[in-house]
Amino acid sequence: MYLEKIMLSDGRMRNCAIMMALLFPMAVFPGNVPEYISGVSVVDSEGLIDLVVAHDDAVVIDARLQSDYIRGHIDGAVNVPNTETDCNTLSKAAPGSSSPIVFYCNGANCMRSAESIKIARACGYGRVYWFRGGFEEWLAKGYPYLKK
Amino acid sequence: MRASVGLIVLLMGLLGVLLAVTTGNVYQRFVLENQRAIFEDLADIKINLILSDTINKTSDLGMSIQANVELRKSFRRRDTEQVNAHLQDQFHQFIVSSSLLKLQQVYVLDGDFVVVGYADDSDGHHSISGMPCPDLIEQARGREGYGRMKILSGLCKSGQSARVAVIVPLGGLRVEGYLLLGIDPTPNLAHVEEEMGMPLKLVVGDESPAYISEEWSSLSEKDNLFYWKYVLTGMGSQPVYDFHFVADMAPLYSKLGEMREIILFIAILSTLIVVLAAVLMMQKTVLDPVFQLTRQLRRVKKDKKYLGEKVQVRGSLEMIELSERFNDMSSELHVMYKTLERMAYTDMLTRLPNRAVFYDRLGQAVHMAQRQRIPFFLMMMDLDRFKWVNDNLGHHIGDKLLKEIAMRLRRCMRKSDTVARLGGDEFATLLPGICEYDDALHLARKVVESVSQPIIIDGHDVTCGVSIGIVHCPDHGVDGDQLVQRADVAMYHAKKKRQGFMVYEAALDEHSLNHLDLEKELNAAIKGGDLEIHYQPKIDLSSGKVIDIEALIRWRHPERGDLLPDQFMPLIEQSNLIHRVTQWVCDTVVRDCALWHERDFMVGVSINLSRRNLDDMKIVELARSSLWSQGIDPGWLCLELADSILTSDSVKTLQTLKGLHELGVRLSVDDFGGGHFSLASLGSLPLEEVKIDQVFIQKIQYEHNALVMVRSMIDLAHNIGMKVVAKGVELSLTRDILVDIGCDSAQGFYFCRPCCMEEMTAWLEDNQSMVSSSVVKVLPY
Repeated sequence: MYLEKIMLSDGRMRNCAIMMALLFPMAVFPGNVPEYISGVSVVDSEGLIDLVVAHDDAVVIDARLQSDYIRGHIDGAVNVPNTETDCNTLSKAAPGSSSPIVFYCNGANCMRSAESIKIARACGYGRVYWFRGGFEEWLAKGYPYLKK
Repeated sequence: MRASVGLIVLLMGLLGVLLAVTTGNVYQRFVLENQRAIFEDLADIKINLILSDTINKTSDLGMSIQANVELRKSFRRRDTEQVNAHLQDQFHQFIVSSSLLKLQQVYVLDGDFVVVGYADDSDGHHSISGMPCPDLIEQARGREGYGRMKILSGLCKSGQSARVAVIVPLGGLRVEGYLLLGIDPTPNLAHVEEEMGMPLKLVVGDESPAYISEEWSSLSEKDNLFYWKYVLTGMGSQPVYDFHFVADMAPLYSKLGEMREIILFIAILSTLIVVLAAVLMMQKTVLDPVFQLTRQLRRVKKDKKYLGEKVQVRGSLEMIELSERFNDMSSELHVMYKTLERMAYTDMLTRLPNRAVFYDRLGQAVHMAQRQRIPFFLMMMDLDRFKWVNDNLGHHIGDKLLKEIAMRLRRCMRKSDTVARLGGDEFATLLPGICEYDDALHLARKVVESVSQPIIIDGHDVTCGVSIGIVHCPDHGVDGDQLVQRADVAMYHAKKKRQGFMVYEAALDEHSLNHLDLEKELNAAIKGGDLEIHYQPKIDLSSGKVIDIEALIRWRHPERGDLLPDQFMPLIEQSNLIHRVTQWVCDTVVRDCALWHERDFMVGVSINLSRRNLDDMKIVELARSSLWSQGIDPGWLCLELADSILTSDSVKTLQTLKGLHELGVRLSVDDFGGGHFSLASLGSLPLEEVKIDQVFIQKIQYEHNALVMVRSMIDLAHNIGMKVVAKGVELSLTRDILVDIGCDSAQGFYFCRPCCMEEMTAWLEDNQSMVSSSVVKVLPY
């Protein structure tokens, strides 16, 4: 039933993406944030910094809701909430599917970035990175953040 | 005791109150110190929170400024003017314009911390020179790697004011430069006044206050103010701010005062309760048992019958232990008291009641006789020959004899009768149930018979008699002492007459009283020197020389005049004074003899002995010691014995005579022919001389028979080797006849009347031709 609703709810593109996401193998445990996602590199705060410094085209996606984003986010990150993430919105934030794209949300217990990554993968982004520690790790390590 | 214990407990209570008050004062001081510590901790938290908040706000501002795209572009172009313009705009931002932050300086620095742009809040009135907190820039420059991305902040002094400097990275994740913001934190820190709720004075270094509360000056006029200071340090632990606080402690003191009153009230109440509880507990555990013991002691003091009575107390273990020891001691005292009582009222040798009990019961019996007309008999008993037993067989035999006699007496009496030992060989019985004289006499006879039965003690066959004096109450008196004295009189006569027992008669009493009085007086005379010796010489009829001088005792009685030996010697013989009198006579006569010898009157002396003197060997030792002390040869001493003495066949008498003979003294038979002297014993005894009774001598000149008898006696004596002395020669004719019939010597008024020592000496001097002289005797020992 749930599968049918999903398949009938949106447009063709979105339905295809979701189907593909479901077909991808992931070390996902029901109700828990996975330790890793197949085909996705997990980075920490310093890995994120290094990635952005090394690649001018690197895009950092904040997968949280906008209200969280406004309260504080990594300077330079683009807010694309997971609830609004699809191939279209992703293409606006990261035009090149070959560009490195990094997703993060609140922290290790947050599913939003993982979900967004699944969609990004489904949309064809090949160089997807997951800042799994998220904003909590960023704050804990004392790196600056921006309020907006 | 209860009052003193209560007082002590009350004093302890007062001490407790004093302690509570002192503790209250200490507590107040402690509260103040604690308050200060709390203030300091609270201020530390509040101030650091405010400072942290200020830094956070500054960081947010810095992050916001560096995120400006136009600024970043101008920075990349190193367009200082544009950069400065953008920076100047920051002073109009909400966070600054609304005084949430007092932004003073903003710098844009490149990656090497070289200034690219700058703006400040001088607005032309006063300039702000110099970068804030240069040490912070040096610290930032020294960072490496990811650390260069982090925000750096610090508090430091900048000239006469303080600064919070914050360095934020510029360019986001790709750091291109830095933004340095300088903030004056004083307005923010002044908010601690509201947080703490007390007036504040903020001073940077030693300068004038950076901030001072409006209430500060008005408060300083009040009393009970509590000042304290908090020092906020900046970079390098350098003091930057002095926070001076002042607190009005009046409310606290008021609270403390109330608290002290409450504590005092509780302390007093607690003390009263403790005192009450302590008194009650002490009453129950200590005082009540002590009162019980004290009450028992009072009862014992009042009546000894309560000794040994157990006291059961309840209380503390110590008091129970004390009461047990008390009971033990009481029991021991009870036993000891009973023993003492028994010793006090019992003759320990015979176990009979003693003199005290006897007189007590006698008093009771007299009382009963007077009030209820119940008559009774009293017997005083004295053992015969007991002294002889004691002296010759030893005291241990005497003691056993007394015990046996006591047992016999008890057997003779009924249970209601009292048999008591008054001392020595003297016993007494009270016979309260006997009313008839015949019954009393029957009982006395029974006692005499019982006591007279031979007793075998340690192999000795001891025979002892008893003399009993009997009185009747009220016939013979209603006074205890009088009854005893009259029983004594009766007993004396019974003993004298060897009658066994005798009932008191008034006729006996007068005679006896004279004797009893005489005995007392004689005792006093010996002590007072009223006895004296008179001398009468014995003359050798052939040579006319003085042989011996006979000593005759005289008593110069202060009331009765001079008493002759016949008047008092029997009394002396019956009493225990005989030895004292003999000793005195012996010492005096031998001493006088020695004096005569010193004056070259070589005469002997003779002394009359009584029958009692021969009952023991004391006379031997007595004569020996007298002679020895004066250095007189025993041959100068002649002891004259009444012929009645020699009728005794007592072994002891014979032993004594033998002892005297061995001593070397001469023995003479006095008043020979007038008594019952046994001619058989005359030859067997160690005698040297006989003195013919003056009854015969004074008749020889006119009565033929008398002359024949005297001649026969002289012949008899001469035939067995004895000398003869004629007594009572008063005439020259008598002397002549005596010479004719061969009498050796004579004595009498014809030659010399008895006279005192001085007169005798004078007589000797006057008649020196009759006295031998210069005769040297050698002492036999």
